[in-house]
This record gives sequence, structure tokens and C-alpha cells, in this order.
Amino acid sequence: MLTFLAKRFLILIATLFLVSGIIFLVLKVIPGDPAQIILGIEASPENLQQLRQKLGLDQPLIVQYGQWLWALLRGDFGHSLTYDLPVRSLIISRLEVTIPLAIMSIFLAVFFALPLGIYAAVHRNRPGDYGVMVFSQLGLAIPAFWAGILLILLFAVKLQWFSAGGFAPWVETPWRAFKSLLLPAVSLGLIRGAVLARMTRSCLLEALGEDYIRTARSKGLSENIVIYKHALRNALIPVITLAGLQMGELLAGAIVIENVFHLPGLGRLIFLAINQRDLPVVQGVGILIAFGIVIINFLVDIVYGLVDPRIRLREKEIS
Amino acid sequence: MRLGKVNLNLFLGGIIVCIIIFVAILSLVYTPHDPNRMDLAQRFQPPGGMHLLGTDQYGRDILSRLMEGAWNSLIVGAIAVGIGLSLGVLLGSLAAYWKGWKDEGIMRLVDALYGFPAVLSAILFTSMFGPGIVNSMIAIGIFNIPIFARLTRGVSLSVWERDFVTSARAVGQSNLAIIWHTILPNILSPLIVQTTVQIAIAILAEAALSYLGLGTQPPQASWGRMLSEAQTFMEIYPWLAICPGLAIALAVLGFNLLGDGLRDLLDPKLRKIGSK
Repeated sequence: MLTFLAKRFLILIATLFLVSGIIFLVLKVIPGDPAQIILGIEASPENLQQLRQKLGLDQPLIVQYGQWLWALLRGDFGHSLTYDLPVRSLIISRLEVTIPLAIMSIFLAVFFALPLGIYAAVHRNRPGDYGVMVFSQLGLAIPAFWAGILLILLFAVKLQWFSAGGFAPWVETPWRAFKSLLLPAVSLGLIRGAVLARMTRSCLLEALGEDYIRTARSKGLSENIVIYKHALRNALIPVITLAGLQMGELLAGAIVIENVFHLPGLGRLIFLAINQRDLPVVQGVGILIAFGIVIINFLVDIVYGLVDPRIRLREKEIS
Repeated sequence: MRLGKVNLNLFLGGIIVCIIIFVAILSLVYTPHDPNRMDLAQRFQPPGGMHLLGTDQYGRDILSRLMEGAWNSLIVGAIAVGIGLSLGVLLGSLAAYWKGWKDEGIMRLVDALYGFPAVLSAILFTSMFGPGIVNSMIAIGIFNIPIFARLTRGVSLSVWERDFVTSARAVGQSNLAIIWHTILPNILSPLIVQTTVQIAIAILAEAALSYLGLGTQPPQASWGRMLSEAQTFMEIYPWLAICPGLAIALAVLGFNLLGDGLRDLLDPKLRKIGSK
């Protein structure tokens, strides 16, 4: 067990190291002198040189990377060129939108997908099952941002139950904040729900075909106990894993959906930063999303290994 | 899903994909109107009459723009997945062949690339080279590399242990020749299935990037861009937002169904699970 955890942790560190290296190099390739961008085209050569020295741009690339990484580890993401604020404080202020949005989306996805998947598996090859399969195919095909636009059209424009966009801070009006995230969460959760419903159905069907289920049935246990106590417990492991992995994807999905609903989250921040060529913000939010995805994948791996000993054993065999 | 002996997914998916490919190719030689010609006198025409699906805020014919958008979506999807497939298969094959620390190194790089979903890679690419269709292809391609690399490595590892690989070695074939002539043909089925599914995901990603203004640039038509432009006017002219969305959903549905159908056809083991 300890070997498994240690190996996974080393892999995590190596991956984070590589991710940070990729982002650092990407932003080094960008044409243009950062000192010139900050001071403008009328800056004197002396001032430019001074700023380059101050920013460490005259150092070798590897030293610059080391300094940047060290700053990052201390939570220093740099300074925004547009907002004239530390990137960290910009990021923190946007998390009140993106994090609840991701949590609400995955909650909605699981809330609808589990009953649908279970129903489809239990009523296999019957109209209800086909209905769920059609729903899941449609959910996979509809782009989240189009779903968002259609939801705005129906619930904001026609019925006027929700606002078409914008966000009210949690501290001021929690209910309005919740309401302004509901439609975006449904848009994002739709695809995830479709994938999870399919996965639940297929895993439950697989579990229901196992020998231990036959044994449970032969012992005379009721069908509900067989399904919910025995089969579903085992079937849920990959479903929970997938739901965890989708949390990572949601961070990236939020970039598009926050723009559809004009939500002041991380996605909107990075999108505006590109148009304003505010590279420290692009770098800071980019690395946060990439790190978030890698760390969530790591946690899912660990949880999967903990609940399913076969994973640990397989790793042992491979190594 | 099966209906009697007919593989319904393959049948429906095949038809939808064929229609979209046909429309995309047709758009190169024929569209009902010039997709980029503005006619302010014909702004916001409802569907019907001269313009089957109506016109947009510049009086451009929506059907013609959808046809041109189909070509752009397919090209981006095909090239992006081609980039991911070729580099991913190369990395995955080398990892499976080398094993040991080289395998570990490649797989860690692949893990790192997993941290960059298509939209994020595109944003980083755009900040380097500016928005555009080529950059979005590369960005979506990068996102596809780890998917194909992991798949290739996973299925290749077991093929390397098979007797026919030992026989190929015994007759003196080089490792490169074994990979090319023996390993790759044996992992083709899962790769074909994954390619079809990834094209669907690439079409979605291209639409999202164009919606954000990072993908296909005006005046070229793109389904995602059409949606983004429609959002301003959809309150009064909802068909502007409905037509491009339906086109994206249909294309993605077609490739997803085709992928499911091919999986049923090519992999009997998966077929057993899939038909459950």
C-alpha cells in the first residue's frame, strides 16, 4: 500500500514539474519583450534594461525557471499588467464563481445520471432503457455552450425565471448567486450526466452478470437487495472515478460556459486576459487549471487504488 | 444498439457522417448563395423562400454558411485528430517497446499533456501565435496526443507478448519492422474506434474555440462562430442560434454513433459489454 502511494506521489511531482515547465516555455516563446510591454514603446533603453534586471530577464533560462517556480510555490503568480493587482488576488476573487459552478455541475450530473443509469440497467432492452440511451447520446452530442444558449432562450428570455447572465456575490445575496449559477451548471452537467448514465448502466449490467450476484439470488435475497446492496456497490467504483475525473474537465469547460453566461470566474478572467495580452494572468490561471486537473486525476487514482485492491496488485505486477 | 441483425449505431452513424462529408465537399463547388456575401437589405430573413434557413445580421445565407462551416469543422477535426493519432501512436508504441525508464519518461510527458484540455491548449497557443484555424488544429491535436499514446501503449503491451511477435523476432525482423508490420495491424481496431470518437470531440472543441473567437476567423464560416454571433440577436431571431447548434449536435452524434457501431463490429469482447 505504501509503495503504491509513494509511487503515485512521485509520479504526481514529476507530472506537475513537467506541466510547469511546459507553461513556462510556452510563455517564453511569445514574441515581444515583457519589459517593453510593461513600460511601453517610449521607454528609454536604460529603463528597459533596469526593468529586465529587476524581472530577472537577463538571467539564463534555467535560472529564470527556478525563480519562477520558487515564486509559484510561495503562491506568487506574478502581477497583472491590466488590473495592476497580484494575479493571486485576482484568482482568489474568481474562485467564488468557478468552484461552486464545478461542484453544482457534477452534483447535478450525478443526481440525474445514477437513477437513469440504474433504471436503464434494470429495465435492459425495454423502452425505458432505449430512452436513457437516446438521452445519453443526445447529451454527448449537444455542446455545453449551445445547451447554455438554449437554456437562456427558454428560461431567461421566454419564461423570465432566471437572468440571462451575470453574477451576484454570495455574501450579498446567496440565493441570487445560486440562481445565477444554476443554468450554467445544468449546461455543464448535461454532458457529464450523459456520460455517467451510460457508465452506470454498463457497469451495473456487468456487475449483475457476476457469479456473486447469482449466489446472492440463489440465497433467495430480494431483487432490490441484490441490485442496490451487492451489484451497485461494486458498479459504483468506476462511476465515482469517472465523476472525479470529470471535475478536472469541468475546470476547463468553465472557460466556455462562463463566457456564455458572462460569469466573472476563472474562465472569463483568462479569456479577457488573452484579448488584453495580460500574460501573467494567462500563465497564472493556465497553470492553476492544469495543476487542478493533474491533482484531481492523482486523487482519483489514489481513491481508486484504495477501494479496489486489484489496481494496486496490477501495479505491483507491472513493476 | 442492435435491431435484429442490423447494427443500428453503425447504420445511423454512417448515414449521418456520409451526409455531412457530402455537404462539406459540396460546399467547395456549390452553395445556394455566396456564404460571405453581405446583403443588408436581406437582414434577418426568416427561414423559407429564397433563403431556406434564413439570413443573419449581415444578410448572409445561413444554409450556405452552415455548408461552409461543415467543411471547416471536418477539416479541423480530421487534421487535429491526425496530429494526435500520429504522434500519440508513435509515443505509445515506443513506450510499449522500450519499457523501463524510457517508458516511464514518455508516460509522464503524456500525463503532463493530459493537464491541458483543448480549450486551455488553444488559449496558450493563441497567446503565443494569435487566434486562427491552424492554431486551433494544433491545440486540439496536442490534446489528442495523450489519449492515443495511452491507448496505443495499453494495447501494444499485450501484443508484444504474443507468440507471433516471438516468431517475427525468430525470423530476424527488426524491432521497427515488428512495430510496423505486426504490432500496428493488431491494434488497428481500437485505434479506428477511438479516432471516430475523437473526431466528434474535436468538432465540439473547434466549435467551442470558434465560439470564443480563438478558432476559425471571420469571414470564414464556422458553426461555433455563427452561434457566438447569434447570441446577441437570439431573443428576436432564435433560428440564428438553433441552426448552427443543430449542425454541431448532428455531426457529433453521427461520429459518436459511428464509433459505437464500429466498436460493436470490430471488437467482439466490447460488443458483448456494449450490447448489454
